[in-house]
Amino acid sequence: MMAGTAFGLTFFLLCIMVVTFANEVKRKKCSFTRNETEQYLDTKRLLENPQILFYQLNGRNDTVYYTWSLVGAPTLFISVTPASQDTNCASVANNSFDWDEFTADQSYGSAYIPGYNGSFAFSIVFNRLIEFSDRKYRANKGFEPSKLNNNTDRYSWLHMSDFNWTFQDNELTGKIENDSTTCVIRLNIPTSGGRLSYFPKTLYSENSTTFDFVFRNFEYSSISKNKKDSNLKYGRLVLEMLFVHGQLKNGSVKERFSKDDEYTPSVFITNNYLFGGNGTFDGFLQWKPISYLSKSRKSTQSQQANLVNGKIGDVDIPSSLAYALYGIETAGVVQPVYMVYGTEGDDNNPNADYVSWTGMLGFGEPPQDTISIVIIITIAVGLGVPALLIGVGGVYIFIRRKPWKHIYVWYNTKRGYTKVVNE
Amino acid sequence: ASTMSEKELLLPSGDINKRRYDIQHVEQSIETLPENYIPEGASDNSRNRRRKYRCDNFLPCDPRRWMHRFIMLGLMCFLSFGSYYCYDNPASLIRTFIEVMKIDNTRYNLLYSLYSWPNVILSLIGGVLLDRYLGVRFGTVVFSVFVTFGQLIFALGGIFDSFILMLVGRFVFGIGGESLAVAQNAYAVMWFKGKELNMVFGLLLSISRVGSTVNMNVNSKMFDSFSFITDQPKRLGLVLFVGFGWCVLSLLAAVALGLFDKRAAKITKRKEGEGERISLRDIKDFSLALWLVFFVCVFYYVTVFPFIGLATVFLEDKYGFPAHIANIVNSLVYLISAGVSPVFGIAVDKTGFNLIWLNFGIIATLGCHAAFAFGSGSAFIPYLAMIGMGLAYSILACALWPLVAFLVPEHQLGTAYGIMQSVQNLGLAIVPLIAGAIVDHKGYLLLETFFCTCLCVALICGVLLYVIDLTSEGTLNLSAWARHRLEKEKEEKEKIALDKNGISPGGVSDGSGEIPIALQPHSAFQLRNRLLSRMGAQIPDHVVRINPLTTSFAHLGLTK
Repeated sequence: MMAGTAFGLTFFLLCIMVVTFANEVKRKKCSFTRNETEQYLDTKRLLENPQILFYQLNGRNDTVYYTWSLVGAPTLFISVTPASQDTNCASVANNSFDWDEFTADQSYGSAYIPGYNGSFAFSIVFNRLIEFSDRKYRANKGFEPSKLNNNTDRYSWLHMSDFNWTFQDNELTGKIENDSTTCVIRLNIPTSGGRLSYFPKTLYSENSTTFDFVFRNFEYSSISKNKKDSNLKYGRLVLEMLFVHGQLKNGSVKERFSKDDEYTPSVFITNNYLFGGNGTFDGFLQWKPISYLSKSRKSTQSQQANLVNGKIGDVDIPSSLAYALYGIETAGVVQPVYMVYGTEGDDNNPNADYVSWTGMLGFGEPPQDTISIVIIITIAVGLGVPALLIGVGGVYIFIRRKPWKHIYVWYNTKRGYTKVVNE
Repeated sequence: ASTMSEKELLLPSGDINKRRYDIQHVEQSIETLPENYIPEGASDNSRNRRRKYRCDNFLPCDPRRWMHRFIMLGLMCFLSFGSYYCYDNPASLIRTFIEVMKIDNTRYNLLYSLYSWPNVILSLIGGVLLDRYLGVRFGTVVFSVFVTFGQLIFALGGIFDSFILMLVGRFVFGIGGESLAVAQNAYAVMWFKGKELNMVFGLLLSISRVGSTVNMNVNSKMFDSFSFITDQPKRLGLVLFVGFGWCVLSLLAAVALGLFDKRAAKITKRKEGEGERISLRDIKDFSLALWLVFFVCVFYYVTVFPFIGLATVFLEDKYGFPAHIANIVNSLVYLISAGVSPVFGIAVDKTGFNLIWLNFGIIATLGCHAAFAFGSGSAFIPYLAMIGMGLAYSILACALWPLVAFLVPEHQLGTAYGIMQSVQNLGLAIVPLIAGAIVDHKGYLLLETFFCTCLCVALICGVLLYVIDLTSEGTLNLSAWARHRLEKEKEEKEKIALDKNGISPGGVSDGSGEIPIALQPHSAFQLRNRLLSRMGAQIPDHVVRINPLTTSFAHLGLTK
């Protein structure tokens, strides 16, 4: 009966714990997609040539808007407003764009997404995919943004706006005509915290969105090959991104070290591009400095992904959602950054035909990995048992030796039985 | 007959997993020739002239003299240098192997696992092969050939860009590797028993570890310097061929040793020893304490060698070390071990308290792995942890391997050490695969946690060993002085027994047919063991023939 009661109580407590700590949906999501001819709410069907992917996530205290624009240079825009009661994101999206002007030339003022001029609004423009001839295998240390436009022997590029996109199941697939290069962007718009199911298994919160780039079968040009020896290859890929802030201050890259690489084997660093604002919101772009070289995403087939800062103002905002929102005059900071894929000294993986990179954009504090409960329990048991053994063993030895125990012998005397202590 | 105990044989020990030879059964007799010895058929004058100018009379050529002995020592050092240099070829080039051969950590660790698999069996029978079938000289050459050809196949695997061929090469290499160390020990005992044997063992271990250290520090730079070879697999194969070159030198040393030893045996008329005895039936008589020693051995060593195999990339990824610095840091364990093993051997010798040293070594290694697991990315942590691991590894080796000699009778030592090495190799065959899979899927923190868990198991066994020893008033943790006193008391008791009952010191009756008072048998088997261990006891033929494993006794002249 006692055992049954104990079991029942334990089961009840476990149920309470499961219910309490289970993933609680913290935001309600509404998604809107549009191309030239169609627009959909929460669709899973294949969409050819999508123009806008619009997500509105209503929380208790605020509403977040994520907008992917494939018109012009692909752009991800995030803005935050006080909590909105409007749950019809289709009408919000339609009210946020002047479609004719926006689709024609993305002229300034043709987009006005809620919050774009508020205390937190931020966009990343994925501008160019650069081919970089790394003859000395220096990777990010050998990449010079200032010489990008002048040195055609070392640099060539594709414009991301040249890709033709399709969208299905949260995946954007881009291809270029007469080119084998493919770009796949896997999106994740979460309503609550969690972790990606694929490496690098990024930890995200309800205040962030992740995107996973995969460049496949890139056609490297002659600058990435040695004419005399076909074994010698030099090509590295670089993704040029433009950070277009509104009212936010400049950002800086901060590296965070973690003891735990359980979720991203052999990666102990997390990079955050942090920026602050006049309001209460801070923002971040977070990524792990790893780029996988195969679909299996093993750490043994990977290279580093390191950010190189460009000079502010060196690159103009291209035709994109960012231009439509900010133009040039009110763009604020236009910070070019370059994500260089490659490891210094690694002459084994140039001209890679599979290059991946995962990033996370969000606001508030960046999520941080902690040591998992599995490891804590393992260490506790592993050290606890010997400690217990030492303690119990010590007590057992102490008792067995009986230093304090006396043997009493009773013998009869005139006064009666008397106790004699005999050790 | 030897006057040295197994304890003296094993200390200062260092890496005693390579030391296993029952010197009780080797009668060293580098005897002197009579002064007036004259070859047959020689005339007086010519005899005198020939005697004066005989090569044997010159210091370096005379096997009875110290210089020749140390020349032989030089050859012995070279004997296993190639093997130790090549064993850790994968660890020194781990990232190169992974990128060039396009493998993951699990497949990479097969290179270590396959080395250990043949030694699960060979640890048991290697000594018997040397003593009974091959002989020490021929056996040494055979095993050296396996090592050399194994490394050749391994290098060809690089040249032909075939990972399967590399695995085959490592397997062949493993067949010879461990047994070659046993052969090296046999030579050491033959030439230095009763002389500088302890120093020789220490030196052999140190030279071997120098080979490992050289490999760690040279291979990566060699690979970079061969940049004129653009084909990466061929470049890797060429680096591995350098190891093949060292193995060829070791093979030549084996041949030279054999020739010199044959010559010395002829000159000094050396008697052949009785050799190894392995009897698997003895396993059932092993005590719980002995099995705990086995568990400590396997659960400890699987946290050292597999870790060294993976450490270079770990140091690069977590601490940001460049490849050549990571290799240097990784080699610290071997370097420290080479230097301090003799020192700790002497310390354990002088103080005793083996179990305390043992548990201290385990706890210290646990601390090093915990530092790797939970420490920050500061650059000083790997240096301290690796140095600590080298020290702890040396301490444990000095304390652990002699325990077997305290727990089993002398004639079971071969079996006991064979089982211990066999179990150790089984662990070293399985754990690298587990470690590789953990790194591939879960990262290095979980790998270090796994190693910490193994060390916790070793610690549990070590503590249990201590408790059992304490409660059963065993002798494993005696101080050196107490052990010495115990030995003396035993000798005096036997002397008294001899005086009282006319019983020989070996405990065998003079012929009265009575069971000696000095013996307190518990079973017929234990009585037989005690008699055998007293030297000189003879086993009836019908007992020998019952068990094929013991038929070797017939060949060793022990039957009536």
